[in-house]
Amino acid sequence: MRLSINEELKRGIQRAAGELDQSDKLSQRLIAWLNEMGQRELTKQEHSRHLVSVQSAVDTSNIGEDDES
Amino acid sequence: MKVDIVGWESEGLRSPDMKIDLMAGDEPAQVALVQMPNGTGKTTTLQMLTATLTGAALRWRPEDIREMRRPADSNERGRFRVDLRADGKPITFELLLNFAEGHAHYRTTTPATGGVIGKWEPPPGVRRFLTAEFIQLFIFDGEFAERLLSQSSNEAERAIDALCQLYLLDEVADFAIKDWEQAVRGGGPTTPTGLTMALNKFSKIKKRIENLSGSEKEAQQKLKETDQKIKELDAGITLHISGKTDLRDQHAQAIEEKVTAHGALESKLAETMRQIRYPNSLHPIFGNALISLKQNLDRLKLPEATSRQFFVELAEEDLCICGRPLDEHSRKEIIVRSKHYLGLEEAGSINALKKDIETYCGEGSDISAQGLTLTTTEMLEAMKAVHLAEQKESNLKRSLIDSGDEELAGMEADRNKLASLMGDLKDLLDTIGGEPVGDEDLDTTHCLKALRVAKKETEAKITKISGTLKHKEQTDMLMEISDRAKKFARMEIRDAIRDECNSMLLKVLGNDPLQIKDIGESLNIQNQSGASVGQTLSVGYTFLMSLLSRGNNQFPLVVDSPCGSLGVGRREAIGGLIPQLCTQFITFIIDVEREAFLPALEKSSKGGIKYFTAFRNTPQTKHLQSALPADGVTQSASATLVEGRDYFINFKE
Repeated sequence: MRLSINEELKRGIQRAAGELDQSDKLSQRLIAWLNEMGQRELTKQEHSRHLVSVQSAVDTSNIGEDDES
Repeated sequence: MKVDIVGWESEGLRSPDMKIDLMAGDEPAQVALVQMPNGTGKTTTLQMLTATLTGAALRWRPEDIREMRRPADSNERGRFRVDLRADGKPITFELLLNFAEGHAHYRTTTPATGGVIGKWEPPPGVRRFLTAEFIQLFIFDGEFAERLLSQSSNEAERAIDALCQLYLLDEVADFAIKDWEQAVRGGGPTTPTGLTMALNKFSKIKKRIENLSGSEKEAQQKLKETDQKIKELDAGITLHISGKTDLRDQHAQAIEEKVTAHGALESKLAETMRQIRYPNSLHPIFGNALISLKQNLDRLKLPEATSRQFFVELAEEDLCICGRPLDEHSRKEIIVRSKHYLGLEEAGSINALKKDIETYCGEGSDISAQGLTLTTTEMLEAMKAVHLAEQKESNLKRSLIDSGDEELAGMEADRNKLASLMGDLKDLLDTIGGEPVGDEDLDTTHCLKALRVAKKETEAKITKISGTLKHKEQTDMLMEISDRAKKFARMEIRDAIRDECNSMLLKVLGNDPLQIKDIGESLNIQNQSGASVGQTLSVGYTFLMSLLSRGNNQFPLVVDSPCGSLGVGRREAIGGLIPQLCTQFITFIIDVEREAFLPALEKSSKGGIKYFTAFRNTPQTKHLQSALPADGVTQSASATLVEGRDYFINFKE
């Protein structure tokens, strides 16, 4: 039986998302995707489903502000 | 992913013909000890194990393939079979060597494909773990331990990424970028011409970036290795010259002078760089201009938003800051006049600038153009001293070479070649990593920065034409999160593993303590530049075992000669630790390694141990044939395999 991904990896994702002003929802969805990848081979459709779910959680309202400052 | 080795079988190869079954009931034994005298074919068995799992033999040359046949044998074919379980599902790989034709062929059997496939074809989920690079991480020997500690290797980082699944983030990022590319190309035949051109340009730039990044990585690795080789060669040259008694002292003195001169030069360089940062040290004209600027700036004012409250609160006090009592009139005046002293927010920065000009360019400043001139002169002197010291050492070597020292001449020639290679590599890295020079030709440039800028511009154009802006922003964000998350996770894992290793090392190396300072691409030892063979092996074990015990992927640890040159105390400690830290341990051992290691291993193991002893059937081993036990013996034409503990512990070569 396979295990879920490392705690360090989870914390890394949460920290990165936080630094980039992204929601906890986004990190949770990304972690769920990685967990499933770590546990079994996903089909292309399953990857796409996860990607759509993660993308929909991305907050793009702040993107580009850093470049202008 | 949990991978177990269930067994292997060898036939017609340099290694003995034998079949090893590692199963103990429904599960593979946690520990499998394969005792083989030196010369029985341990190395071949490990080579075949690696090649069978990774598909590497397809790239072997005919002579490599024929190397695997036992000398003096004439059989046309050889075969090696490995049975695995990946997450409980069986997979079998067979490597078939045709010595006559000099080619290799594979067979793979998995339940998913419903039978035998006539090629090396691991199931998709397992494939990523069956690369040569990955497998090498878990087939442990003294050389692997050395590589973990070598500054010219990135073995430690690769092991962490592999076992802690950090590669999953790369796969996610890769999937996201491909998805965006797919979305952009979604227009199919109706794709506007402008978009097609931009897409072609994008693909070309991307390919060039990939190639150049690969070359950069390769050059960096080569640079590290070359630097290491030069250091080793320098040490060899020093040792060689110190063997000439008449020159030993002179050479030692020359080396000392060189080190001192380099130290002095570094210090002067740092001092020069410090002074260059002050404009007035470059020329008095800068200082005078700055003082003139200061005099022409406004009178000192306070930033309004942060300072107004000071006057408001002062007006509420009974006494003024000068000590006189405040009445109603004075209070009103303070509030009115405060406006003269309050300015824009920039006033804070202007005040700081004026203060710095006063400090560094005013009369009391010790920074001057004369100071820099003096420091520069001293730096040039230091450079001259370095040159002289190097020349002195070089002259000594030259005189030895001229007097016929061939060995030194050879070493010097090798060193010069390496130094020249190092120069070329540095030039290449400077070009790849440098700043763009004017408008670079994207087809020919070696400047990564120029290509990355062009890639970003092309991406923006594609995004605009194709109307996928939001999609691109989401993809970029996902890639950025993946990139940062990997760095953060790696840092945290490195620290945790270092602490675990250090606590284990205290147990293993009780009498000869050694600690890991930090883990970068390789392992760095605290307060010492190198480690003994025993220390290296111990550090390698503890690192790999910490990683195996905490990683989410579980693999067998295969070790050739587990004790090597370890002393009795360390053998005991390592033997006790191994079963606690890995799910399957397979080791190739010789009889003299059993002492202290075996009892500790047996005591600590909870998942069963299988004992095998194998030797070749030769006239020299005839005496062993006569002492075989009644049970557990399998004989082939070339070898004898005995399974069982009693025979194992009493076996002597």
